[in-house]
Amino acid sequence: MIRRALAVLAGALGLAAAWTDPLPVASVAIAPIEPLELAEWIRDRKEGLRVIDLRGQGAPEDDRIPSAQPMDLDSLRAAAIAPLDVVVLCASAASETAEGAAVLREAGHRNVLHLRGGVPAWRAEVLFPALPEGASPDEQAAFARASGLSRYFGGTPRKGAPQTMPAPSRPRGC
Amino acid sequence: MSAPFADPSVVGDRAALLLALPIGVAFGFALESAGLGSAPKLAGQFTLTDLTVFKVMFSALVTAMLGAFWLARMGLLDLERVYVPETYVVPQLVGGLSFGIGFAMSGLCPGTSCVAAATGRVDGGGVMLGLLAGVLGAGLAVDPGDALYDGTARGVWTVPEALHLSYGVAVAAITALALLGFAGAAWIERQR
Repeated sequence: MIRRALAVLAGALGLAAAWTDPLPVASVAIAPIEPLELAEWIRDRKEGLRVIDLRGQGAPEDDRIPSAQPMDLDSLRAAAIAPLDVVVLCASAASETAEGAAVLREAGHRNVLHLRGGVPAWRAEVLFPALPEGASPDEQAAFARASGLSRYFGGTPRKGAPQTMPAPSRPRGC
Repeated sequence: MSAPFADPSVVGDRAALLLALPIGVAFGFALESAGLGSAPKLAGQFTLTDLTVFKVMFSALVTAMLGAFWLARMGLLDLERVYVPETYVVPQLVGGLSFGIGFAMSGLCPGTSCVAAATGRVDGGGVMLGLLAGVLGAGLAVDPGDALYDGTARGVWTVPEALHLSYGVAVAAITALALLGFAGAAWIERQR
């Protein structure tokens, strides 16, 4: 009896799933990459890494991730990207990322990631990481990792988390 | 705040590891309770005399799938933070074949071998040792950059994407497949 009830419940939930609006493809199909991991990849000159800034040419030059190529969807379609390149997309909205990923998937690219949190997360976690008061040993270790990357990219690690983030100095990069 | 709560980037590696312990204990308890620590029960899968493995595993899959879908729809689970393993077609076919042969020979899979070993069974310990040796051997023998490994890399590749379906339709189709499978398994067991 219980098994039959569970089967009916599963069937109902499954049918209802088909009737609801599909979730954005981006939420299930594009894996995120953390800003610090991307920073390490760029610093280490990871082979086949392509960072693409889908905010296009409009974004300020000093607000770009080092080595990122500004592109819109049309230029992304025409871009020469090798099939096994690892493409990291950063955009200002999830829908932009999803559209960019769809373009790349249509062209046969499978190694597509998106930068978790976009450029704001890059600024907060790579350029200006903050160590809170009374940080745990784990947080201190994470801060030490982030501090080296921050200095490498021209940022400033902060202790005590000030209210505003300073503007970046000239970023280093590839 | 939405799940997953055990995200190492949020709670830290140590807390994530600590959370993994009760989750692992619950997983092992569920496997043992379902009888999957028994090699004859697992081997029955291949002779079609006992389809418990199919029913337990497919039930778990459907439960997790429906849970993930509806929790995400309700805003309680952030699917962007859920890791989806990448697809490597040929290496995973080779791995799946090796796994199946090992499963049929020993009557145990990685999870159930841990359960069997924990209950003091020597064969469970033997399978675990073999498993670790196989992982080590494959890691040493296969270069992640070689053609076999990378030639059929598809990145994160999900069922809805591969079949050009919406996520909801894929969930419904897999649920229907599971329910048909359970009915079929019950029919096969009744014939024996």
